[in-house]
Amino acid sequence: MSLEQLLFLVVAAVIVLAALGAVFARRIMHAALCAVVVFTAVGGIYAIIGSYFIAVAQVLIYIGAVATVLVFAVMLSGQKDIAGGSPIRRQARWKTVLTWAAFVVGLVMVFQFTLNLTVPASGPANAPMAAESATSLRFLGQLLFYDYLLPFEVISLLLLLVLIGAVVIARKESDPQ
Amino acid sequence: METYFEVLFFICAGLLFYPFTMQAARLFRPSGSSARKLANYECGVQPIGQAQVQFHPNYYLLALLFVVLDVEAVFLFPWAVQLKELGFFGLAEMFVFLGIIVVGLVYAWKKKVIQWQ
Repeated sequence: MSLEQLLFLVVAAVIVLAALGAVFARRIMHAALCAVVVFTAVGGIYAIIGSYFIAVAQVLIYIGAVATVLVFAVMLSGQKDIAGGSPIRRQARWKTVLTWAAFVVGLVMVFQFTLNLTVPASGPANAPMAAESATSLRFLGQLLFYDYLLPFEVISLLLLLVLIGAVVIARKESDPQ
Repeated sequence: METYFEVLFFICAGLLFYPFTMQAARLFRPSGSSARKLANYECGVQPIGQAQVQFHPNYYLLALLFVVLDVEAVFLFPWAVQLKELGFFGLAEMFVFLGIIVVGLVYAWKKKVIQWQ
């Protein structure tokens, strides 16, 4: 077993455990913090497969910003909204059964899909990607500004929409002026 | 990936720091406790009520603003390393990109999201 595989197994175990913690945590704040652990470990997966920029982006956006939003969302909710722990614990039994069935079917589909997948030999083991890691950001910039210029600009429009939408919705709900 | 072992080491050291210091403190501190000692410490002020109180929704809005500006900041990295090759064209492109988002920021400013009331 190579070092990458060992690291992957450790990180994957952390992801699975933290995800289960997020689902089953009694207090919603603990669920949010478990989600932050999942975000962090997923960033570790990106670093293991050699996409360092994605790993940094994961840390910046998910751990930096999305985690903040999650925690603030929990702090916004009042005592009565979160009493009794995760809503999963309060579901009717048939809903629980349905959820588990969907989960198992999804898992089987994922396995089926991954088994049929033929991966091009460009993993970290034979590492053309890792060798290029210093230039891959450069490559990304080139792609972004030559081949995908329009999508890039559309992203800014999307971000603008998010900003204005958030302001409009939150203003309306908190205090109508 | 080898350079990332420092990150791994940092994470492991951080994880070990807490139990190690707590165990070390246990060696030196006197044991024995009272209800007052177990209370949350808030700069010597007596804690009132529960820790989980409802916060002002403005916090959430500020966090959402932060998400948007964070996503925008991530796009600056591939642009910055490629700026020399892109030249004036790239500079103009990024200013268009930033300009569009600044419109949203100005809108939020006008709506007094950033202001604290």
